Amino acid sequence: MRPRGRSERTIWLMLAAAGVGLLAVPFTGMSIYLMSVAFVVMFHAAAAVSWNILGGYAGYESFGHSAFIGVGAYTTALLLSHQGLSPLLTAPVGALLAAAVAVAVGYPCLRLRGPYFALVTLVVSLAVSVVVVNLPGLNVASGVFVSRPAASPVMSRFILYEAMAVILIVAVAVARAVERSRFGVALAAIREDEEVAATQGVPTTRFKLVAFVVSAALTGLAGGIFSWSRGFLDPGDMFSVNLSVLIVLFALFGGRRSWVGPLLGALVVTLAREFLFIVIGEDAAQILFGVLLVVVILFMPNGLIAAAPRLLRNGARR
Amino acid sequence: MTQLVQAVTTGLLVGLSYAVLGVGFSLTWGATGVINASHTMVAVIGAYLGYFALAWFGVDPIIALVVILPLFFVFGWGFFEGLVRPLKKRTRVVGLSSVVLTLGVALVLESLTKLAATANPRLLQTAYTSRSFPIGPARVGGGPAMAAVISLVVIAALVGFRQRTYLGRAMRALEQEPEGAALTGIDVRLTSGVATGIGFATAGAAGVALSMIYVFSPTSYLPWLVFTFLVVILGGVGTVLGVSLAGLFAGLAVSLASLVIPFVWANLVLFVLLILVLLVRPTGLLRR
Repeated sequence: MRPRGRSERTIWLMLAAAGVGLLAVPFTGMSIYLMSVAFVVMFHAAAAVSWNILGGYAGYESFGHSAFIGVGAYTTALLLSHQGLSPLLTAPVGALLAAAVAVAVGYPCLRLRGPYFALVTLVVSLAVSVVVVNLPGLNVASGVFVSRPAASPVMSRFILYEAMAVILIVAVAVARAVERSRFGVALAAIREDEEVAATQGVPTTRFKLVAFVVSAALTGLAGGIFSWSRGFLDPGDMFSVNLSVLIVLFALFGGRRSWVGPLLGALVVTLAREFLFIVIGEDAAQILFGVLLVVVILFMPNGLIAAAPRLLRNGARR
Repeated sequence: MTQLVQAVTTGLLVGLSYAVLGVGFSLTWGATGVINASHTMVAVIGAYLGYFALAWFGVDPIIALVVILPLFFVFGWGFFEGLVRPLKKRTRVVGLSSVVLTLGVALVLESLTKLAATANPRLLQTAYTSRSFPIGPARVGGGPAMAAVISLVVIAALVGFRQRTYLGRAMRALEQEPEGAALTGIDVRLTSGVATGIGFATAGAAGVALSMIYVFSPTSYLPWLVFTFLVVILGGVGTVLGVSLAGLFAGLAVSLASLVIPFVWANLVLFVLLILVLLVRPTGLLRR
């Protein structure tokens, strides 16, 4: 399992250094624009890395992760606009609520296999959005105004950047810890063959639920900070199926075996997306992402990380 | 009492449209193993074609079906040859990857529809949609009535096709036992292509039917997908009658629920129903 010659501790130290570097970048005088692009990239990466804990390691692909983003987003937004509490304090509350939703949803739905699970999570995310939008007393149907983190735009962006960077670091640390643990090995066994895993003594139902809850909580955490950047929350935005599909696309495009894939996928696809939105407009760009999804499924089912060496070799030969 | 009769009638009529929407999804799933998440997006495009046939050429959507059905059949066949066959060559178990693939297709079609027709919701208005007919103490709108007629014709034609024709029986064989079907000399490639074509054509018909009942927009495919999935899980993969009954049941459930609870919550009844069904039968109410 271990890369040649490097001890586990060295790798953790390298990752910690990368994390510190990520947090330090804004001090070099990053522009507001770059900070906001980096914010979106880190948000997507955190969501994709979290999604991968269940979707990649255990092979249970959720198409409803925007439900957890929405729950996290509305928790922090409502607590901010009604109680004046900072999302920095309340994002963990959003994560807890997302985890609670994951328990309620996962308990029945994780008994379903493959395509059934995928479709039911999509249905559930629509149901969760109906509930949140129409719950009496919340009044979110007409939108929620969210005040900025700080008076100055630069300071706002800086706070958002640092908060999302912390969440990304947490998500990567959790994902890597899961990968290296017995728990992670058990999840991989579930992915390869669930019956065999169960006969080998893996408590499959409990482990899948734990993976789902961890995945949902981290996603909710990211959603909680994300809503802070929006100014105004439109219900259709937060719970969008497109966002759920995009998260799956990040992970599939990058590769699902380790946290590196979803991170890389989120980085590449999000940057391409920002660029294409400006150049050809949103609807036309969505077409390209649909095509990308089809291409990934047909031609690189194991993602960029698995396909890259082959692509490079073919390129060199020509 | 009148209210109850009204709700039951409306529920049954609307349910027939759900049934048609589900039938094609179920047949494609049964014959090819593909779970086509873009099925309801195809239906939305059918609804748009019917709408524009009326708006631009003054042709009634029902007459437009003469063009829509063969056109969508060809699209479906092309979809099978162009996307499903390459996918099948790559993986043996096609279920999950087909969901991802077809969601990609749905995303493409949704954006294309938005570009071509804007995201504005549309309401189909014909001579008959503005009228209503008395049925007992209840009144039925011309739109839902016409939608029910379309649905009944399509379902009857499908049942006949599957009982009476060689291809129809080959399709049923393929649903039951793909390898056995291939061993008896059934052309699996042809039959699967035709099944997918029929799936798309019925989606087009369902779209036209639904456009006579509901306001629709490019994003309508999501709520429609929920209905479809529910109806197919309830009714079974690869059964026309099972899916039809499930469609009627779903229509009734929503219609009766909206008698007692606000409409926005009535759709939640379907979600809860779906989860309950899946709890009882984790793989759906499948025959396989």
